Amino acid sequence: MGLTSLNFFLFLAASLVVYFQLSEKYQWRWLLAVSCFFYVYCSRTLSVFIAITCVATYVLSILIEKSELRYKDELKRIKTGELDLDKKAAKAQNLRRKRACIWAAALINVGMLVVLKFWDLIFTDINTRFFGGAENFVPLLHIGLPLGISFYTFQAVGYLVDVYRKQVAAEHNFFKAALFITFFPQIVQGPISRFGQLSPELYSGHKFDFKNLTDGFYLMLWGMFKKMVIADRAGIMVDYVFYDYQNFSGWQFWVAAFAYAFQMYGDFSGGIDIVRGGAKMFGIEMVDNFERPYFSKDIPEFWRRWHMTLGTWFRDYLFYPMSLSSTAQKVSKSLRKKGHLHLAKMLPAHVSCIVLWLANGAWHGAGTQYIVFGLYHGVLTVLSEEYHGKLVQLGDKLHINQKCASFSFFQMARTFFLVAVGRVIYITPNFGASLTILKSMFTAKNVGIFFNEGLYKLGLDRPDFYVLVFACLVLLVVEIFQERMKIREWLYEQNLYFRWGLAFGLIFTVLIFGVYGHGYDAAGFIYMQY
Amino acid sequence: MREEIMEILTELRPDVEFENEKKLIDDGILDSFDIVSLVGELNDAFDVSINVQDLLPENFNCVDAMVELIENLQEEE
Repeated sequence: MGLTSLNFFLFLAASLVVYFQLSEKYQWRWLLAVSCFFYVYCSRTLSVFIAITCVATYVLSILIEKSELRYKDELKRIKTGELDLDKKAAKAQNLRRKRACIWAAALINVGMLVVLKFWDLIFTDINTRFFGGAENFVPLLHIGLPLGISFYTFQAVGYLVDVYRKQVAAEHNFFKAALFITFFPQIVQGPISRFGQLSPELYSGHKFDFKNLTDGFYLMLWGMFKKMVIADRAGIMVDYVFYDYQNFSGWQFWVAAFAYAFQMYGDFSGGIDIVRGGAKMFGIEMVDNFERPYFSKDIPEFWRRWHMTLGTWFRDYLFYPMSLSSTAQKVSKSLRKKGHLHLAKMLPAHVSCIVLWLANGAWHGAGTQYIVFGLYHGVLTVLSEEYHGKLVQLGDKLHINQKCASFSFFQMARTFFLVAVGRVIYITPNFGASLTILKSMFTAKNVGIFFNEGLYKLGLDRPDFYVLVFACLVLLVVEIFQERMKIREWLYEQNLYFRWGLAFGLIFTVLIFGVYGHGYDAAGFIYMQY
Repeated sequence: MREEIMEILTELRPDVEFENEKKLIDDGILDSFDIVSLVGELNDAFDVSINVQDLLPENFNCVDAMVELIENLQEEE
C-alpha cells in the first residue's frame, strides 16, 4: 500500500471517519489497530520483526526505569544509614544496569536491522567473489526487508536512550509504546520522531477540525505533486541514463545527475508531506524533515536541512556520545598538554563526524560506493567546519562582497553541485561504475546536447522534459516564498474561490502530469525500504 | 565564572555577540562542532563533567543558562 496509491487514501479516509466517531479515550486504540492492520497488510509475515522490536523496547524501557528507581531508593537508604554502600558505587551499579539495557536494545533492534539489511548483500558478494557462486558457502537468508525497518528501529532506539538519559519517562502501557513505534503514516519512510514530541500527539484525543483536514489535504496534495510530477518523471531519466551508463557520457550525466537531485528531493520530501498531511488530518502534528535544503550555502547546512530527523538522531545518539566520551576527552586533554590547542579542540568532533558519516553511508546501503559516499560528505563537512572562517577572511582580503545576493547564489549553486556529485557515487551498482561516470562528467565535451535535441534523448521526450523543467521551476518559486512566509497560513487569508481554484488546479496537475505509465510503481518510494 | 565563560565563548566564535543572544541553540548560532569544543573547554575550566544528557537547548541557549548549568554540576559533584 504505497503512499500515493488509491488503497492508501481509502484506508486513510476510513480510518479518519471511525477515529472521529470514537470518544477521545478510545482514539489512540483505534490508531494502534489501524497501524497494525496497515503493517500486516504491507509486510505479512515480516511483521514479526516489528513485534519483536515493540516487545524488546517496552521491556527494556521499563527495566531502565526500574534501575533508576532502585538507585533513588538506595540513595535514600544510604542517607538514613539503612544501606551500607558508597554513593559512587550505587551510581556506578545503576549506570552498569542501564547500559546493559541499552546494549541489549542495540543487539536486538539494531542487530535485526543489520542482519536483515546486510547479510544477503554482503554474503552474496563474498560467496560470488571467493567461492564461485552466490550461495556456494555462507547460506543466504532470503527474508526480505520489513517495511520501514530503519525508521522504526532508529525511533525505538532513540526512545530507549531518552529514557536512559531521563529525558522522557518510560511508557508503562505496552500498547501505547507499540503505537509510538508502529504509527502507520510514518512507518513507511519516517520522519524519525522523538517520543517526547510525538507521544502526546498520539495519546491525547482530537476533536474533528475542518482546518486540520484542509491543512493536511493541501500538504498531501503538494507532496503528491513533488512525488508524482517531479520525482517519478525525473526518475525515468535517471534510470534510463545511469542503468545503461555505457551508452552515455559527459554532459548527459550532468543533466541526469541534476535530475537525480530533484528526484531524490521530490520523492523523499513529497513522501514526508503526504505522511505529515495524513497525520495532520487526525489532528496529529509530526516534525518536518526538510527545510528547503537546496537553498543551503554549505554542506553542513545542507545536512541540517535535509532529512533533519536522521541528522539530529545521528547527532544526539552517535556524534555527541562519541565526541564527549571519556576517551575523546582524555585524548583532547593530552593534546592540550602537549600544546596542540587547536587539534585538541577539533579532533574529537572531526573523528566523530567521520564515524557518523560512515554510519550514514552504511544506512544508505551495503557496498563500497556507500562507504565512499559517507566519507565524501564526512570529509566535506570537516573541511567546511575547519576552513569556513578562513575562507570568509580570504574573501574579505580579496574585497569580495560576501553578503550580496549573487554571492549567496554562488554558495547555493556550489552546495547543489557538491551534493549532486556526491549522489553519483552511490547511484550506480558498484563504485567502479561511479568512477567511470565521474571521470566522464569531469572531462565532458559533448556540450552539443544542449543545442541538437540531445536533451530529449535521455529517456524523456520533449513535452515530458518541459513538464519536468516547468514543475521544478514551480517548486523553486514556491520554496522561495516558503523561505519568507508560511504559505498555508497565507492561503487561509485568501478567499474561498481562490483556495479551491488552487487546490483543484493542483489536483488536475497531479492527475494529468503525474507519472502513471509503463514501469510506474505506486509503492516505489526510494526511501521506503531503508 | 560568567566572565570566564564569556571569554571561552568569544574565543570560540568571535563573530557572535554572546551578551545579547538568548537562542544560541534554537536559532542554530552554535552548531554541534561548537558545542563539542565548548563542552571540552568548560569541563577543563571549571573541573566539571558535562554529560550528553546535559546537552539540552535550555542549558546552552544563553550565557546565563551555561552559568546555571555549571553551578548545578559543581553542586552535584
